[in-house]
Amino acid sequence: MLDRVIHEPGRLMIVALLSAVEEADFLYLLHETALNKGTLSSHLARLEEAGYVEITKTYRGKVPQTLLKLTRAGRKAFDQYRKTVKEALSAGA
Amino acid sequence: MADQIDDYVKRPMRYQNIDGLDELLIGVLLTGVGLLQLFREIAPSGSIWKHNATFEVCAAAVFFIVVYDRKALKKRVTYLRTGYVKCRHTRKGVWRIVAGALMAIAVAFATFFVLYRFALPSSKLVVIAWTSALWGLIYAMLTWMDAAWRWVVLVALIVAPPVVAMLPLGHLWSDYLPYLLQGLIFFVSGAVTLTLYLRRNPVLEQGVE
Repeated sequence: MLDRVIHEPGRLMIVALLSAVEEADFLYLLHETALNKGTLSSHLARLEEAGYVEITKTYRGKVPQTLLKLTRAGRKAFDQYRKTVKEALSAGA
Repeated sequence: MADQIDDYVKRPMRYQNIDGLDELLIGVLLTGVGLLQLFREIAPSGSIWKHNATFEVCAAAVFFIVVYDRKALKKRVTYLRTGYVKCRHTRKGVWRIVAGALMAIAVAFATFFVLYRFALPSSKLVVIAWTSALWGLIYAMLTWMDAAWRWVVLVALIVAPPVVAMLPLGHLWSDYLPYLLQGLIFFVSGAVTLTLYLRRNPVLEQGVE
C-alpha cells in the first residue's frame, strides 16, 4: 500500500531531495523542485502535519531562513515507499 | 519511476559545485602553489624565499585563504540564489568513500609504475602525466560532466600539461609551466561555471519564504 502523503508528485520530490541531506532551506527546495512558493509551502505543511518533515524558522544574518529536514519517521516512510515501488515494478515486469 | 526518485536523491551531490566555486578555488590553490614554487626557484640564493619553511608557510596561507573564501562566497553568492544545503554523511557513505579512495590510490600507484617502467622517457614527464590524469579524474567527479564543453576542459587538463612539458622551453618553464597550466585550466573552467550560474540565477528578494 503506497503512502498517499509521499505519493503525491510534488511531495515525493521534496521528500526524495531531503532524504539525501542533513537539512536544506526553502530556497533550495524552490530551486530544485521548480514549484511555486505557495505550492511548496502547502506541500511542506502537509508533510509537517504527517510528522515527516521538521520545519525551523531562523535568520541568516538579517534575512529570514526556513530550514527543513526529514524526521526519523519521514526517512522510514520514504524508505518503505521506495521499497514498495521497487517491489511493485518488479512484480509487474 | 524508481529512476526519477533516484535522480532526485542524487541531486544534492551535484549541487556542491553548481556555482563553480570548487573548480575556481582549486585553480587558485594550484596556481598559487605553482607560482610559489616558481618564485622559490628564481629567487636569489640566500634569500628567505629559498627556505622550505617560507614556502610551507605561504602554501598553508594560500590553503586557508581558499577554505575561508569558499565559505564566504557560498554565503554571499550561492545561498542567496539557489539556497543552502547541508549534506548527510552516513556511516555506509563514509566507508564507501574510504574504500573508493584506497582503490584509487592502488590504481594510481600501478599506473605510475607502468608509465615509469615502460612508457615515458623521463620521470618528470611521468609525474606530470600522472598528476594531469589525477586532476582530470577529480574534475570529472567534481563537475559530473554536466555540460558538453566540460569534455573540452577535461581533454585539455589531461593532455596539455604533458605536451607543454615536452616542448623545448628551457628548464625553468618546462618544469613549472605544466603545473601552472593545470591550475589555470581549473580556474578558467570555474570562472565559466560561475558566470553561467550567476546569469541563470538572480538573487531572490529577501524574505522569499
